Amino acid sequence: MDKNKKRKVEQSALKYMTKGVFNKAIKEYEHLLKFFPDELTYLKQVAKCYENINQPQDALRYYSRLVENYKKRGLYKQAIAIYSIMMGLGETKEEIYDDLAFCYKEINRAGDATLVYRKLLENYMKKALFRSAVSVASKILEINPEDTIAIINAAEAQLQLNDKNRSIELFKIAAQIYKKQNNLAMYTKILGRINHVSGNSDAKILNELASIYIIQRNYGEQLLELLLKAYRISKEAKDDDTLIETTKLLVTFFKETNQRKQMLSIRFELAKIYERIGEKEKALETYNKILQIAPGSQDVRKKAKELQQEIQKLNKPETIPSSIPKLEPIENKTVISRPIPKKESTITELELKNILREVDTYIKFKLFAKAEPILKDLYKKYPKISGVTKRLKEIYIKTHKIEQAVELLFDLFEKLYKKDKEKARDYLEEIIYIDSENKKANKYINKFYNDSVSPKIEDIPETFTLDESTIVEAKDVINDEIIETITIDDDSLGIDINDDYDLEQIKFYISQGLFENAKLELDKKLKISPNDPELLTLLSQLEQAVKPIIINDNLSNGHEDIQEDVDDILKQFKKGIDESISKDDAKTRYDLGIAYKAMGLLDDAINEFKLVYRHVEKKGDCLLMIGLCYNDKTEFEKAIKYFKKALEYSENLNQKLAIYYEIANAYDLLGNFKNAFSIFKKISQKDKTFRDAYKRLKQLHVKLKADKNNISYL
Amino acid sequence: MPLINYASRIINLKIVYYGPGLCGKTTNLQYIYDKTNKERKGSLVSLATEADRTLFFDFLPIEVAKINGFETKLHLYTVPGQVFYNASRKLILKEVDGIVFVSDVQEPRYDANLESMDNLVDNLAEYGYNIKDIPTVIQYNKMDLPNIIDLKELNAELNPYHFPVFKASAASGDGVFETLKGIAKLVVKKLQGR
Repeated sequence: MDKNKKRKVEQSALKYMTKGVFNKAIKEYEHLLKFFPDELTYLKQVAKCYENINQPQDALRYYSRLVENYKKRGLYKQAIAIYSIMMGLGETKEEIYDDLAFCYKEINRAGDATLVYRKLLENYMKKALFRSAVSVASKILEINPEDTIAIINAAEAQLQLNDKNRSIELFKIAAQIYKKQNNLAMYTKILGRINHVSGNSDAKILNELASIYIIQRNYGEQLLELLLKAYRISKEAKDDDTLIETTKLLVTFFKETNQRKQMLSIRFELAKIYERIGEKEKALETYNKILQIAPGSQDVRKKAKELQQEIQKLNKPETIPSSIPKLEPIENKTVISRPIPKKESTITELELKNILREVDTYIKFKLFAKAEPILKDLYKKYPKISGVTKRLKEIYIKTHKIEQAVELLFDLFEKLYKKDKEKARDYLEEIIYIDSENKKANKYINKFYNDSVSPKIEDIPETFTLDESTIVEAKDVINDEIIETITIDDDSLGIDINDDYDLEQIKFYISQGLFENAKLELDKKLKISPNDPELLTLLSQLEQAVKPIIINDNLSNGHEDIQEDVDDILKQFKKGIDESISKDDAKTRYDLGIAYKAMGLLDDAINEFKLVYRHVEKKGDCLLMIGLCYNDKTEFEKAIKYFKKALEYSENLNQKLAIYYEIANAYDLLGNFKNAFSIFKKISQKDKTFRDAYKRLKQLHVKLKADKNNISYL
Repeated sequence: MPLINYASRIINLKIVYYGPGLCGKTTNLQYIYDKTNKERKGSLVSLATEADRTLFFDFLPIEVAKINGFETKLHLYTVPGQVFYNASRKLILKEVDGIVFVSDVQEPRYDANLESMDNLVDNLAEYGYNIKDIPTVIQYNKMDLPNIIDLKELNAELNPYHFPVFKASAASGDGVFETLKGIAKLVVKKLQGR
């Protein structure tokens, strides 16, 4: 066809179109298309003409050709426009969605591509074309690997294709994503679905579900049922890790529901499991926890003792026992005593120092029964070390063993007599103080006063045989300087301590695992000298020593222990706040509410906002914040109640829209998609750009359709 | 994630001062509080234990410039630095928008700095956060004291992601506001990218 002829036919076709004679226009354009089959204008005009004479199928045929040509030429935006017309004409072929999504991807509009794929996915699911559904889902996941709707649909499709394992695997991925997003409501729903699909047989999932109940403080029978099921399954499967996790959750359950007996019994089970799998230190720690609550339990005490001995055998003496509970009363501390060297000649200064430090700790905490045998043993082996004798004497006095105390006081008197008579006399006076009728002591003391200075050497009984050679012998064992350092006075039981002694004591506490005591002492010192290098070094040592315990806490995921600590700290903190910040200080209280909310301390946040609510200027804001807290608590109905109240205080359209948005969001989370949809629609009508209301509206449209398809959680 | 109140048009951004015990986190907040205009700051909530250590957390809200018509508030928090209080620290890190890691540059605190950073990374991971993705700056504090660590060496270990670093002496205020500005910039930039 030559140019003139072509122009004439084009003019004729256009004339017919303008006059509305579409049939004739079609004939003219079809004639042109025989010569120019890929001419975009002709294709478009024919399609339009068919639309105008209400022949959609023919229109679609031509639009289809047109769109293929656009794509061939890389004109994706134009192609997208045509797809939209085609869909308006009722085109339902799945391929069209696929192609449309492809075009969106080509122009980097991944979000739109995803929406189209989702629509396609929905269609395939409706038509039970599960393989195709899986394939589309994977295309969505190529765009966004965390698209939960695609993952869940794929999981449902795999289930229909009888691939249960793959289905569960996909559900688990979706659950993890929701968990990461802190979307507890959806996380719970998906876990419930996994539980259903797996036929209630996955103990780990049951544990996860139980953990959520615990987080929500929902301690009903359902929780116990879940846990008992998990317990049975993991026990039968001999899955110790899961069994331990379940047992810990059971401990939390019984603890929170004040079922003390059951709590102790399940803790006992936990300890036995640890013992069985060779986790001796954890077992010991668990037994100790039981003893904290039930100190009279002989069986447990016996087990703990046996275990402690076993651990002692395994560990080197210097090893810090990682099983020492942080805050338990000293009576229950599982301090591993350092063995006393058997032969006198083998003791080193350091060993003796350490033993005496340990003994001092026992004395400080009035654990005389523990200190006494160690000292007696030492005294027997090293009778010349006055530090040992003095400590033992002190214990005898405190435990009213006067006879033994007197005997030791005479011993001390004898040892000191030659070196310092005045000081030696103090021991005699002490004897008279505790045993005023003691004849020997009275006789000697009288001698002292009568002679105005001291008794003559010949008056001193034969037993007073301490001479220079004996002193030298004693020095061979341990030098005087050290004896001085470790020899403490009467008031040394925790009162008069110099700096060095403090530091040594802190070191000792650390070495013995008495971290709380070490921390207290160190904090005191750091308050005075915060930049003292030696103190800072000790702080590092302490932190290093505590680290394994913290790590153990984390590994064990022990809700109880970690929570208890924070609860206690929070209690102290709130008390301090109440003392220092007035309840009428609305600004600070409001800020605190925000802080608590950010930390997930939702009840505390609500309390702060309720306090501030009394102030006129913040009422609406507080109601909104309380609503948001309830949203976080997944108590959506309550949240809606507060949002609706907040509406009463809204002053302008923006505030109203903001609150309506929260209401719609809460309805959505509640699963009331219809209400959510209707509110998002109203928001979008007022302001289409308000937050992501319009996007949410479109998503809800999908959800509502899915609802019809009985996949409620979509 | 920032807490955005669309009704009042306020953006609340959470910035946590993290670091080993006694590194100067609270001192940073105190200095910021002292030098900020009354109209722009809230109360400094700071409770201490008997031993003068942070109890649970310190907290200071301050207002900064408006962003897209939204009033922007920085909520500054400190964590208790002592190892014992890991559960508290973890709680405070929840929904954090930016981190100032305060490092104590004194020689004996070398390991404590590294451990605290490890602890930060672990705690963030528990919330599914990667420190790489969170606006973070590092403040090398106590630069005025003797016996300080070779910063090159410390930085190589402490700062593999090359976060911006600021030298400071929080007690005298040197570098405190520079650090705050540094983190604020990063946090706001991330917010604007959303």
